[in-house]
Amino acid sequence: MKPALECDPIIGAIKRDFGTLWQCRNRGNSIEIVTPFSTATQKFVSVFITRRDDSYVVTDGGWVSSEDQTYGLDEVEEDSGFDAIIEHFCKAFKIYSTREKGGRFFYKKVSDDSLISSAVYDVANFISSVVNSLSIPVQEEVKHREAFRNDANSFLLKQFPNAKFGQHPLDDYKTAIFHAVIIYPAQMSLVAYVTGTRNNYFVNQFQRAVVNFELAAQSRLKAQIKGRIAFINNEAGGYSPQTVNELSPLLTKYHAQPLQWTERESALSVL
Amino acid sequence: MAKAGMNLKIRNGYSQYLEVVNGQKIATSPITLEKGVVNNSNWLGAEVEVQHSSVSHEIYFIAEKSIKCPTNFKFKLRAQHFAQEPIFRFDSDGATHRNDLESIPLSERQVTTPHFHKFNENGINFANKTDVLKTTADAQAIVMDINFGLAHFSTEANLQDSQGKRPIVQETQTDLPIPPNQDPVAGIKFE
Repeated sequence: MKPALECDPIIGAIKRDFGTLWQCRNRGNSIEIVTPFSTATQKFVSVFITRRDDSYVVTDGGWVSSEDQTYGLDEVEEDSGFDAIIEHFCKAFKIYSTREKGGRFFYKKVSDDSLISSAVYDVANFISSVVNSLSIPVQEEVKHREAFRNDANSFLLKQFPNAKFGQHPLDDYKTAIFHAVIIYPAQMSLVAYVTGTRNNYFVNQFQRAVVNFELAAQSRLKAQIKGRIAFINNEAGGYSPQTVNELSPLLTKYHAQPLQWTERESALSVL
Repeated sequence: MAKAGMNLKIRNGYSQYLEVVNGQKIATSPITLEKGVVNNSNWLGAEVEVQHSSVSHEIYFIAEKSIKCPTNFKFKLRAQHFAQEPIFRFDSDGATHRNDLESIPLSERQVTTPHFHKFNENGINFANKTDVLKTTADAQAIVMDINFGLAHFSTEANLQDSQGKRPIVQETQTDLPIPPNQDPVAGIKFE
């Protein structure tokens, strides 16, 4: 009896279509292979092949741990389990690593041409696994922050139509960023948001707020700053009163007032 | 129903979105790359407000360039009334994008750099290559010179400088420029 589905045309189409996902381009003395392996951060994995002495090196090119966020892990925080994840997948795919020129390179070395594909398979699987593992908490955290930012932005905008969001208001400290700045003719008020799904994210945001208010206190524009508030999201999963007690004195040292989100109405008189 | 990754403001106001991207824009001040603009010490950046011929919301043009790898640069348009993330972007280098569009053939879901990012009518961010970027020689020339890249971006984004000319990126950095080399493992020893 004839089978209901034939293998050949379907597997043929799949092989052909997957085949088009392998691409190659020259990069100086190395080549980049774009692979069909992909990530939850909407990237395709690339591996780089280079010659060293009599061997081929297949490597991630430093992209996995790069600060340039090449694979879209833009919110990975310290303490996110990066080291444990790396160690786990290095073992699983027998990957080596080296640190040089400010980067960390993951690689596999082969001397026989016939083993290049095998090394590409392992390194690409390694990259995809690591990026996907790291992206789980990141996606959740990004959504959480976005939701809180939207709530807080809407609250402020209702009271202060002249509020601007995601601003770098200090021209002498351009790295200082505030979630909201209320603009007055010759003055401004600064607002930072502190939230997080986990305590380490929460602490990290709190510390960033402290640093930004410290820069504001040193800025040549400090006399123009009217109010300084950090909205503390006491409804967040990462909120802990202990963290707030520990870090709040640093905020007040730089003239900023920590304010629980559930008591946000009292911010209006300060801003 | 709204899908994950879908920008509803852009979907619901798609004609306004297209007007922001395609309408004539003027960079109101010189584009000078400096340290401290990008939250990454390995990058130079510039952020300039742009004046749109018909849209009164705030729109910014942002240029960023890697110090270590000068062929890696980005241009962005940011309009926060639509999104926190850039609403239109060019990447000269970096990872290949996977388009999250289920109704196109698999091979078209993979878009290598250099490429643009924009939103479709469903509010989904996707990457694409213009005809110029599909031509290997033109794409290579654009990657090797940030001002060629900016010229192409300016055509696509309808951006001019305050004199009505093609905008140019300037740099204040006085360090010796690093020669362009797209090999990320040049000089790396692998024991």
